[in-house]
Formats: sequence, structure tokens, C-alpha cells
Amino acid sequence: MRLSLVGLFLLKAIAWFLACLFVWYQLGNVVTLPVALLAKATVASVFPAWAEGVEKAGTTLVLLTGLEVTGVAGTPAGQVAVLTPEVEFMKYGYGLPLLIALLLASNARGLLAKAALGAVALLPFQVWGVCFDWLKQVAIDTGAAPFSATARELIAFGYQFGYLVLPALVPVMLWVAMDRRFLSAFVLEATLEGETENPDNKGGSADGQGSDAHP
Amino acid sequence: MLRFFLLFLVIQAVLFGVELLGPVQAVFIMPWTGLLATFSANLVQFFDADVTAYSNVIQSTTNGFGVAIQPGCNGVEASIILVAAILAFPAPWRPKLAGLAIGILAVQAVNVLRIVSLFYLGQWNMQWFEFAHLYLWQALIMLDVLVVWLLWVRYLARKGLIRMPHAA
Repeated sequence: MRLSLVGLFLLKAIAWFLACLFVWYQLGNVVTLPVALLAKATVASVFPAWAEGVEKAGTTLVLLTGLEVTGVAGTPAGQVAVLTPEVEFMKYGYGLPLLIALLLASNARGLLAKAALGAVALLPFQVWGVCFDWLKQVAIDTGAAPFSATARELIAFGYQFGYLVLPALVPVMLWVAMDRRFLSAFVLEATLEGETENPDNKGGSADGQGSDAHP
Repeated sequence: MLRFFLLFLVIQAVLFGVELLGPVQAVFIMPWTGLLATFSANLVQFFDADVTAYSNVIQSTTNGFGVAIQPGCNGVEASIILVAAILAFPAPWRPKLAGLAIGILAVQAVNVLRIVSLFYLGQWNMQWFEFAHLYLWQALIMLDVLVVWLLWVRYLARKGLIRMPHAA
């Protein structure tokens, strides 16, 4: 049985993703570094009053704050602690192996340049995820920093969007934007198959509802 | 391309915002999540009688291991992305509606596979469970959405419902 372009693409994408994910996981300490630097600069400029720095421990990013909290589990009643929310970066970073896997699966031209460009393009979204995770812990989980109810709603939205949607969606969008040649070939193949099966399809739909294949 | 991207982003951001609203969570998301747990447990019971489900939890009655299906693990976000991709693409409404129905079903089917696989993976090794839960399945679900969307675009092209692209 002949695999369609989509079937072949899916198999290659899964195989390449598993391989890239393994390599990326081994390089976790390195790939965390640029995000740590950017996240540090972001929180320092947006929340200079209480964000005092960022420490990197492997793939864990710790936000150092001047915020004090009480009632921390495992400490005596009334004891004050300084809040240092931690974020595991890797759960926001797997978009890079996914993007490279998609580029490899579609035999994209200029793979190295596109992968490098993609890695840079992914950074702001990874920083988004890390910063909103910190903010969620500061504003919602502990309430250590004074945020309005509306601000807390926005932080909840930003956190959920940054965790559930952006890490997996952005690499796919970047791939679509970077490898339009694959999509064009894909639509062309399907169109020709359709014309072979039904010559009436030629030149658009019979009911005149045909749309431009380029979205 | 730009129009598609912008429309896609707006639609999915709006739908995602709606999904997070309290009443939507209470009326749709939480009941759906519970239903998903029950369905997954019923499916597993075909070949493993030692499994039970309550609320949004699937639990082994032999070793006590359980997984709680949280909002975010219920395939709704992946479905929202597919809905936005189909709605933003220039195509007639009838194939759009068919694509939405079949596509959401396909995404949810893979999500059930994800839940069942994680349930057994967690009983075997928690490190692998975490790895699969946080990285592997997140990306695979998105690949599923992408492939479903590509198959839908392929259907449109084969039926002549979109014009042949210019050479890129």
C-alpha cells in the first residue's frame, strides 16, 4: 500500500520527534540558559520592586523575590519566609525538538538556518511561559504580591495559555510559515489526485465555492 | 497566509478565553472531564477488570495508583486549536462542519489513548510517566491536530473546493 504524503509525513515527524526530544532532553542544561537570561531581564524590568534575580539550577529556574510569606508548610506557625518560586523550564521548551522534527519530516530546505531562526523565535514564548508560571505562584498560589482581581484573571489566562497552548502550537505555526513549499506540494498532489478521479473538479468546485488554497 | 494566521490566532484566543470562564468550566469542562475519565475506565475494563473511575480519576484497584484528568488534559485545548484552524481556513461551510465533527472526534480519540497509556505508564515507572505526560504526549496531540487539519485540507483539494496553489 502506498503511503500518502500525510501518512509518510506523520511517521517521519514522530520518528524525528522522538530522536530530537532525546537529544534536547540531554542538552536541557544548555537550552535553559538563554531563557533564564531573558526571563531575568523581563521580570527585573517589569517588577523591579520585588523581583531581585533569577537563579538557574540545572533546568529549574528560581525567581528570587523580596516578598515575604507566612504559613509555609513545614515551618513553625508565624515564621516568615522569603518567596522563591521555581519553574521547571523543560515543560515550556519542548517546542524546539518538535519544530526541528517537523522541518526534518518535510525535508525543508535550509534546515540549519530555519532551525536556528526557529530556536530564536521560540524564545519569547518560552519566556512567556516561565514568567507567567512565576507570576501565578506569586499572585494566585500565595497572594504574596498585591495584584488586583482583574490582574489575577489576566495572569491566570497568561499562565494557562503559556502552558497549555503556546509550547506545542508555536512550533507548528513556525513550521507552517517556514515550509510553505511542503504545503503547496501537498495541496497540488491532492488536487491532481482529485482531478484524476473526477475530471469535473478541474478548475475549481462545480458549485463555484472553490477557495484559494493559500490561506 | 497572514489573514489565515491572524484569524486563527483571534479565534483560538477567544475560544480559549471562553473555556476558562467559570460558568463554562462548571457547565461543560468539568462534566466533560469526568465523562472522559469514566469512558477511559470503561474502555480499559474491556481488558483489565481491576480499574475503576470516580469523578475525574481513573484508579487501579490492585495497586491503588490513580490518575486525575485535570482541565488541560481533556483534549479541549487541542480541539479548540483544530476548530480555529478549520474556521480560519477559506472553505465552504459544509466541509468545515464535517471537518469539525470528524476532527474533534479524532483528537478526542487520541486523547483517550493518551490517558490510557499514561495510566499504565505511571504504574510502571513514574519518571517515564512524567516525561510522557509533560513533553511527549503534549507534542503528539499537537501533531494529531496538525495531521487531522492536513487531511481535511487534502479532502478539500481532492474535491476541488480549493484552487490549486501557485508554484512556490
